[in-house]
Amino acid sequence: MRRLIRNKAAIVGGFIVFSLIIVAIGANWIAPYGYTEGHVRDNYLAPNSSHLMGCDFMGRDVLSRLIYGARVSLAAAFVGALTSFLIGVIYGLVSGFLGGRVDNMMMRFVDIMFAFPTLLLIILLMVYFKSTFSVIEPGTFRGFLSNLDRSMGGMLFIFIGIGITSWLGMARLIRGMTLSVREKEYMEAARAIGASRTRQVFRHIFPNILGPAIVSQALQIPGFILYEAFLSFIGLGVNPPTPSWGAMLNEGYIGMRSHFNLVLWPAVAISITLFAFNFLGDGVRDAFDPRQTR
Amino acid sequence: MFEFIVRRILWLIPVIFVVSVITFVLMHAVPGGPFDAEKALPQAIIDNLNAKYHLDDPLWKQYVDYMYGFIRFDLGPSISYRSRTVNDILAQQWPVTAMLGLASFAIALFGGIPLGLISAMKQNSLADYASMGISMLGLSVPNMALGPLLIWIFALRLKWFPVATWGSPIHVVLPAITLGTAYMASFARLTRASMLQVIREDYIQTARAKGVRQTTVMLKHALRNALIPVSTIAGPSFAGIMTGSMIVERIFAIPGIGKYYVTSVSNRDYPVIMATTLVFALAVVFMNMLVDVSYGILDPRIRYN
Amino acid sequence: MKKIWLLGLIFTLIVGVMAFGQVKTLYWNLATEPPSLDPNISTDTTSIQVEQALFLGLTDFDDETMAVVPELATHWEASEDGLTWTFYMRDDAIWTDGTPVTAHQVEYSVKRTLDPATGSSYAYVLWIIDGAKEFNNEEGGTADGVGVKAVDDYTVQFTLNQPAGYFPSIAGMWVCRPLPVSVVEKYGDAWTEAENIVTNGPYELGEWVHEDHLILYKSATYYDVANVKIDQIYCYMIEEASTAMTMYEAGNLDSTNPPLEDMDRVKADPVLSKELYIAPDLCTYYYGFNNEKPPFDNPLVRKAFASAIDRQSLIDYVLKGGQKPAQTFTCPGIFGHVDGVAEGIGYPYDPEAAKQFLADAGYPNGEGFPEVTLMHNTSESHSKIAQFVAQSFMDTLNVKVNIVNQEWKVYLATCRENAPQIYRMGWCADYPDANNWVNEVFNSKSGSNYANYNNPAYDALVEQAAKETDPAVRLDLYKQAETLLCDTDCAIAPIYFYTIVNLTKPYVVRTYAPLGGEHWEQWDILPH
Repeated sequence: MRRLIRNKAAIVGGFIVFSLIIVAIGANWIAPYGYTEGHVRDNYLAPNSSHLMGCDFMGRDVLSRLIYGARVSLAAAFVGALTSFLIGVIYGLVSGFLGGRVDNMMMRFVDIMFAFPTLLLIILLMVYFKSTFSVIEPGTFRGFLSNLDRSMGGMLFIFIGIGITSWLGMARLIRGMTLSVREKEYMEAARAIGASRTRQVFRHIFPNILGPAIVSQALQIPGFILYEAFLSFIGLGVNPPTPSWGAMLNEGYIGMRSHFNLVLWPAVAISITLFAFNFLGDGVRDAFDPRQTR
Repeated sequence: MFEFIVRRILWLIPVIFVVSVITFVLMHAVPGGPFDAEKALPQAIIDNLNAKYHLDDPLWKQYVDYMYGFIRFDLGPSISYRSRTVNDILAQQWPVTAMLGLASFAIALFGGIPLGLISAMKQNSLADYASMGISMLGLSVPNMALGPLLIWIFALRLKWFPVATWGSPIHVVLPAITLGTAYMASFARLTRASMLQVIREDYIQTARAKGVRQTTVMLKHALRNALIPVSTIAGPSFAGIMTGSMIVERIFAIPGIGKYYVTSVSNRDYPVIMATTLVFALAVVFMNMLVDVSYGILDPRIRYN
Repeated sequence: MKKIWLLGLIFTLIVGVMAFGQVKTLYWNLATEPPSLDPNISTDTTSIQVEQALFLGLTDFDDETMAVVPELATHWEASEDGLTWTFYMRDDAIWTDGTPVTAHQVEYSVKRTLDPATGSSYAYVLWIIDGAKEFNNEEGGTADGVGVKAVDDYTVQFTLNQPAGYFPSIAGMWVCRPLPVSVVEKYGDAWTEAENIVTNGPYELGEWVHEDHLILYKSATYYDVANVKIDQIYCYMIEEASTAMTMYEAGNLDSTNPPLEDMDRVKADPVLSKELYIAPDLCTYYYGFNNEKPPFDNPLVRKAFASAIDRQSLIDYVLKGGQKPAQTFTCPGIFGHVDGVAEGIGYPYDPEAAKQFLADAGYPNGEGFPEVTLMHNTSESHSKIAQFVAQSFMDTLNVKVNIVNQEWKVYLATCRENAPQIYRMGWCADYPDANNWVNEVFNSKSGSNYANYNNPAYDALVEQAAKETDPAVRLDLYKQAETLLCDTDCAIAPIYFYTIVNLTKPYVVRTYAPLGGEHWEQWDILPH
């Protein structure tokens, strides 16, 4: 822990991440305007005293949309990370714990999926989700999911999509760690006492691998933020008017030379966030790395 | 080594099988077909076209027919581009993307590793943060913003480079920078991290004690071993570059295969979807094999038997 | 001495050739790789543009008046009953391989378009020909039963199943243009590749590097080649509008359509503003309602929504391209257009009236009104328009509108099978007659009638107008039809009529073709 504090960049990173989370949660109180507020007459207004970062094409305040956008981008990052974490951990735990042929098969599958173009998978998945789950059918499962997705501004399937395409590395890591922990003496002891399999997994293996697993997943978060921007670029992102940094970037880059501030601010927001997560993640990993001694 | 390569090549078979089945199922699960058009076609014509492309055969048969053709390198006709076969499309477009990918990879490698080295040698100093900062900059600015920005500054204003399109070596520079800088950061960070580990190993201490110069220590002993973990991300980086090429190719009007990944899905051009996916999978497996071979070269302790 | 003289001569010759023999090249952006250059199957504007330069038709359109003018056919006549049309072709048109262009090739082309095996999306335009539908839709017809016949080498005769005054404009469409029969038979689908293709137009296909560019060269075998001034057309394929804009500004492109995000800057820029050209285009942008889906099965609800769209603000603040608000469907410039704004047909922006309609429908101030879905196909500009209009709805009527986008194929499938409550569509003219609009789109039997508009009186009007020969009567019928479509029944809410928004370098002397493709053979490039 002390090592972490010594790493100044990581501290700065951590502070920024913390502030972003506060901003995202408190958006309603911090943002000067609502994210749909604005009159189209004010379109593309340059930054001035009432709109510090100017207005977008519909006269909506860029700063406010940036603040609300933090919610979406951070949500995509955290929930996406959580989803892929869950899938990866469960898969890896099962595979590593069961071992033998099952483990072999499961890992072979992971190896094969590594060769699959994620781009294609995500596009096919998103197209499928968007077409099947954008109905209003109260009472059916389909309608329920569509409603849920709609109420989240179109984010539900983005989370699911990110989760489905990003769990592979985690699965491999968890499986490796499970295998090594499984052979430790305290596991043998637990087996000798007659602990049930679930008990072995949850009480003994899981807590020992949790640390590095979280660190590893956290290091992937910056990637998810960019992922969301990429999805917006190909038109499979959140539903407007919900703002997200990726969507704002997408709306703005076409007219970059005419209205640079529309691109600048979301890009800066994304960059700062990525910097922060990267430095923080690196710092945490360095700090907990047993092999680094000073 | 030879046996190892053969085993790896045999590995391709299950990969191709699983990837092709998943792709095939998914692409047929998505609603909409290749012949849905704004001016709606009469049903009789749709039936005819489906028959022409064997889309009315049972799914399993379509799959088997396709794979049979695939093995014989006949990738079928393109449904959206009537005058071209999929073989034509791949032969014309893939080399362009490969070239772009290679150039981007080179930038990532030869830009990232030195930056990582510097950072490691002067850990937690200003130089460390600066190098990491520079490389992170590339990682943090998304392609779709970086590309037009580079075009604006270096092509439109300074006129050092052409605005867009492809054709000569100078056309490669801006797109490769756009695509490669994100991976430069990954390589830099990883090099830094593994160098930091390696520096503390005993054999490095020994070398220093023997009086070997610092630079020789770094380059000859440490770097070689530090590169091993770096090659672990060569594979995923390659995949990422292929994905990112889609945006970059669109912004720079480059005639690569990137756009086909998206347009083939929107057009429901099934043969192209299958072909692009499978070729990608093949390329990744091949890359991984190269990486594993390089392990052996970099670290004599790893030999395959 | 002699050597210097010789060198001097060579030098003069070189300079002379360079000055006078300067190759005039037009740098154009096709915006995408043409899916096919086969005229029988093309549906997209890119392919049609290139085919305009490569393949001649019986007739063509005058860019200014949109009147039908002769091209391969020198003159034509209709029989008394209006069912038989005879086109007399010129005899000096030849293909790039030296063979003559004949009426047999016209007959071949028409039949090939109608052949169900070809799978042409535009074949339906030819269903006005006798026997065409039966052949095309596999209802028992044969190729021989189609009413097109080459009477001799240079005369072709069409037999229609009902009179159609607009037929000459159809005869010139790309689906009817003569094809080089032997080449098509020999190479099959690959006949359009650069190494195989044979053409008869003012330009020929010199080079086609897929996805990258294609080059057209002035065709020496074109009968009017003396008047073609531009020697070479280099067509880029740049999909990204902002990149094309940058290339235009860098001087690499001679013409481009600026993205709407740049419109403010273009209008304010001293140089660009002079190069900007805005003129009406023959397309209408509309939001359709699924007339069978509640709450839009209630005409009052539809009228409420149609009155809640602030078209002028949309045009002024979002589109910025001088578009015109639309209250009727068929756009200006097309025979049968009705000026809804001037004649009070349709629903202009009127927030008070909108609220009143909604209250009359049973939802005073939006109370109890369910959440509705507005769908559009994936595109940044459609998204911007949707956000504006949805906001309009929400602000005026106090209702909740969810915006959903789907990618194009899925969107088409959705609209066809289960159209959303509000869906975005556009329609562009294929030929200059309202039949192409009100009948081919919103007739209850039409496959493009995603609104599920079903009014027998409307169907009767448009079908009658299709058969009618007296223009005055036709105009009146179309007026009644538009009134039903956009006013009484308010099946759709037309939003605006498109404009051409274009930037062209001042050294390009050009025309603007509202229908078909640009007529590059009429353009010129001044020294610059």
